[in-house]
Amino acid sequence: MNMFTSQKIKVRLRPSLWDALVVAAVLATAAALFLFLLPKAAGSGDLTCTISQNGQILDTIPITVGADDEERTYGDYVVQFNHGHIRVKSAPCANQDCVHTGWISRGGQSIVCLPGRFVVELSSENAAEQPFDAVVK
Amino acid sequence: MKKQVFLLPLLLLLLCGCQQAPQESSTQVYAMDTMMDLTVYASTSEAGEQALHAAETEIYRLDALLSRHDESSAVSAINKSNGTPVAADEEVLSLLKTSVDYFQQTNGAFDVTVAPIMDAWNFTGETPRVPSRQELDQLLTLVGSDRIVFGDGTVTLEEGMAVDLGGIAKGYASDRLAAVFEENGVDSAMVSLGGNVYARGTRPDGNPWRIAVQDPNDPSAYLGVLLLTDKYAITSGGYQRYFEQDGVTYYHIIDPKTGDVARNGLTSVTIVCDSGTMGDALSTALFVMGYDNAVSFWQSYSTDFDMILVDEAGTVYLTEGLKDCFDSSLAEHEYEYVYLTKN
Repeated sequence: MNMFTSQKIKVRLRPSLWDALVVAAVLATAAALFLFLLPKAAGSGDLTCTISQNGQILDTIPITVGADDEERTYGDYVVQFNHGHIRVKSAPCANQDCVHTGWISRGGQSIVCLPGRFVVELSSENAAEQPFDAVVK
Repeated sequence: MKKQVFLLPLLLLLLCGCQQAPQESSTQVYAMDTMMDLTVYASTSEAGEQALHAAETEIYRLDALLSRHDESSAVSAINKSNGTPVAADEEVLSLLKTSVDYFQQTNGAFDVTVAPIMDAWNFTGETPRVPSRQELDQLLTLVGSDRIVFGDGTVTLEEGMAVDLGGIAKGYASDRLAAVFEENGVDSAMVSLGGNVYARGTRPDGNPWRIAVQDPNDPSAYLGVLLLTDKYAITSGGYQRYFEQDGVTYYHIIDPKTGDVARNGLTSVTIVCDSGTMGDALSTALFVMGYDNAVSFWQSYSTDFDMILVDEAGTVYLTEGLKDCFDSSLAEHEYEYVYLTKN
């Protein structure tokens, strides 16, 4: 006695409208993900420079690498922006520690003028993208 | 029954999804003549804020206790001793005794009694200056931690002598913050007390904290990145606080034996260890010692620690313990890295 019985299975190979909809949904999701992740992959475009004094934010500037040379004045401080690099060009403090710090260009870096409590900080929009969590100095 | 078996993992998945990710809270504090960044990760933002508040309170308490520029501080009271015993706060006495221990262990390279010489240089003041050799020789007669006399709850300094705990206070503060975070149930935190770093636990993602090490020859560049968990990293270097006169750079690290700026061939010393107090004291001491004595000290010291030395030629010396937790791929310049062993 044969234990198995043969069955005729009808397989339809022609794609239906539902198949097309699934493919379209997958492609749309992939395109959306690509567009969402593209600027992050580019990296340097999402740095933000925050300038504060006594804990009060004076200015928030998006930093782009291609930005022209620019100087901004905050009271007695002059901050220079040059193609994604930032420094305190001049300061009223006696020790000039903030000027000595030189240029910064990466998320997580900062320049501090202690006597004036004047701070220039660079941060990445996405903290996970910052190459480090702190600087030992 | 089949349906219930199928639903069980789904239910577990949903419950896992309900577990909240650690909440980040951060603050900036100006104290101890520097800016401090504190970031904690706690179960709720309220718990994080509470821990930060407790940490800030502790920092301000220590600043008021240990600052010698605050006339009402415990250290200022000691500095007015002028040969008579002064009743001192127990915590200050303990830290002062610890400082004297480091003075003895480092053969005088770390010395909190350099205060009168620091005043002569006036590094932090409006008008820093280069004292004459004669003036320094005269002031050196007031230096020597072995001359601090401890009594029963008292301390005595000879007339004209003074102590400055600035070389150890921030490290001690980071140790105290570890205790504060412990009390407040914070297992993950990143603390930078003006560049003195305390990496508590791991990052919230479970990976080690990433601590960039500043290049002493180019303050905007890094020698590499330390990957640390539950460690302190503290650097002494002459590249941040300095002044120039007649084309010569004078930085704020003083050799207690000469009273002059410590120029022994190193441009920065970073200590990686399990105690902020130890790291702070040793970073200064080993910078003063210079390469040969620093390496000998590391090889024979009773407590394990790791270090990164940079010499004037730009060579980066790392101790063997850092081999697996130092990433040089972020370095912007080309450095020669040399690993030191204890053999």
